[in-house]
Amino acid sequence: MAWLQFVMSIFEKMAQHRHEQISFCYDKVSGLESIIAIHNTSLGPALGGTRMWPYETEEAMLDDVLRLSRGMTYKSGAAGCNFGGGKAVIRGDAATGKNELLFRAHGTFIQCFDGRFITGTDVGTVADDFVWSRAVTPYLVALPEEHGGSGDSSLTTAFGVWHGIRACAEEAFGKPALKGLKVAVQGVGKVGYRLVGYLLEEGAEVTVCDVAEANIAKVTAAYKLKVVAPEAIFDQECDIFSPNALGAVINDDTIPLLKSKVVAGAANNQLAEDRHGDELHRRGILYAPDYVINAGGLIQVAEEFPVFNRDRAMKRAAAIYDTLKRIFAIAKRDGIPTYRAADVMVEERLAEVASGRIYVRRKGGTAGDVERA
Amino acid sequence: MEVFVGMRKYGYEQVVFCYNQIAGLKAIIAIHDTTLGPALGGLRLWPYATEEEAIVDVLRLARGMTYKAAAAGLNLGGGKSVIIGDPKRDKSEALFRAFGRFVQSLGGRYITAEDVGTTEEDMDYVHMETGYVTGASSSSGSGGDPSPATAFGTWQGMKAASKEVFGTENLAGMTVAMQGVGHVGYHLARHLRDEGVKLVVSDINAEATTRAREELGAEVVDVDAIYDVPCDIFSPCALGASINPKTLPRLQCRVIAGCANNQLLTEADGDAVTARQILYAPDYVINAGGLINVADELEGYNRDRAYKKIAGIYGSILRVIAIAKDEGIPTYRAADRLAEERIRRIGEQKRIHLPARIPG
Repeated sequence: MAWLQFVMSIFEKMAQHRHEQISFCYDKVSGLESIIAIHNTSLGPALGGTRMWPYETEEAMLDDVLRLSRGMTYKSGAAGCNFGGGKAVIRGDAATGKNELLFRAHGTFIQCFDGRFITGTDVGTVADDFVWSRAVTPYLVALPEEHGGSGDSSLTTAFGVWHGIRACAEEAFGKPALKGLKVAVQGVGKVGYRLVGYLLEEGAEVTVCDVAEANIAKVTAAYKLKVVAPEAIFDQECDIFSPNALGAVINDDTIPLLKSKVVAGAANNQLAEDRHGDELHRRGILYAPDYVINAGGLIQVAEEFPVFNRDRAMKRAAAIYDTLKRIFAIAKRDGIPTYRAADVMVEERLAEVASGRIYVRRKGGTAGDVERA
Repeated sequence: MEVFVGMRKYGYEQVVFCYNQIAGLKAIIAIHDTTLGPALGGLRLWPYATEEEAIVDVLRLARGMTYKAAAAGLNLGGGKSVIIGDPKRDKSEALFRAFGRFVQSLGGRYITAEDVGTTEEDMDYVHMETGYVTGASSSSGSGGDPSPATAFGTWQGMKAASKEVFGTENLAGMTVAMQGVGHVGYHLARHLRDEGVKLVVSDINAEATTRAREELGAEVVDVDAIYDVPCDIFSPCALGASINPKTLPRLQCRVIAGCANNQLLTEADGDAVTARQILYAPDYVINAGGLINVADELEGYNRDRAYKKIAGIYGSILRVIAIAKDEGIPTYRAADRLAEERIRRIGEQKRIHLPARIPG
């Protein structure tokens, strides 16, 4: 058949990282074309956002959802959440392609997994889109607050990053206190802004940059700190470099410029490639694996089950401190870079969690299973 | 690689790829249309040479189930599943239990059953993980071997066709040429013999023809000669595609009514049958007895109730004929029309909101 031209077969792609399930979903009325990928549910139902993007090819769409769903397994696993990894992608233009029909249809396909997949916002979707989906499924997180969502998660994320930075400080400088340490913060958007607040409160010396003038205006209005041009951030003498903006910021060009002993921030996908993590390791720069240190947002939505409690969410976000210390210990034990040690920690947790094997009367139940009305 | 292109073409709802390394499972579940209810369709285990072949097959079969269930008046949609593997080598408890968990993961939107390459024992393993399976020996009230049910329904459909063409549903004294008297064909032949039909049969399996001759008094002809037998009704009960440009000119019947799947090689052959003024009883309508029987298991099997529903194939064939006459279209098209119209009209009723869930 001419319409099936596989570069690599779907099962070959699944076998690479042992994805459990991929669902191609189509609705002729709304025109919805989506893929829901469930990577691993050893710990509980798959949790992951819904991305809307004008993918040019089906293969690009599939590769994206496979990569992202796997990332969620590791992120949840490292955060100590009882959720597995999943993700959904919708093919379409987020600016022009959204409507009630589309998100209702998407909700219907989420519902058909009966709680095995739980979703929320991601690139190209906003909380309000899922109010449409809510008509047909309860398996949603991060809804608007008036619909029961836990609200803006940037505070929780920043809180988790702050605790992660303290773990790095203890590892690199002998104590967790940040007083007197120099921190260069790249990006003071929603998360970066709040992170700066925590750092200053503890007495750190903070230098910031941002490509958006409005972000700089906001942070300088609230705090007294040093501002530099975006390209100058790498020239700053500092103990800790904290990337909170774009991805791939640790690359061939930037690594030689780094003056810090620690890289720890909220940005996603900080390493351009794995080898850049190896290079940090070789240079003796302590790297806090991005998906571990920035898990506060995920932790917040995970804590929406069974009923959201902010104290509980903040407590779990603070535990990123302990998680990073465990990762540093594994890195030393195995003589590997921290980004690899994070994966090892999750893989060990997945392999060891026994809740699915010991017989209990409620068939197939795990701690992450949630009944929602 | 375009799964969506295939899905868009006939409006498939969902295609689910399921993988488990330990069990060696590579399964695809296709759900075509669930307007009428959960998708019911068998699990095929087959050594597909390529993944593409498996996808094409599961899509085609799932859509066929939508039409079959709709035309049979069942509250079921169309689905199908395939496992890529060799039935002789690759079966295991782990394989079918892994598959069962993935069936369960769809929460009842898809109900599986045995099909080519799978057996009742395999369904027993599936049943250990999910209730959404029919035909497992352990499931409450199994309907057993569906072949007699298929044969009974085909017999009823044949009577309806006869009523239309010969003015009587009584087949006594008629000659029926049967291509294939293996499993379902044998049970059909028994009904026909009991009614006083003159049977002329062929089969690639000599044991089957011997049994038909000795037990049912059938006249046996060569496999290829069956097309030339002067008869009232030609009954394809073997492989598919037996109505094709080579065989159709040879047929000496006025009715084609049998239990085989996919009797027409192409739709053009369905048009050609009509042009020759032969009445064709659409395959998926007349051979739905097995499906109806299996569907009855979902309510806790009751043989009398199941057979009463299967007898309704008589009425279904009459309705198909009426649609064909009204609209001046071949019967195979009229069957599709019947199924599509039912899906459309019943689908509309789902707009009437009910606060609590009702079964199905």
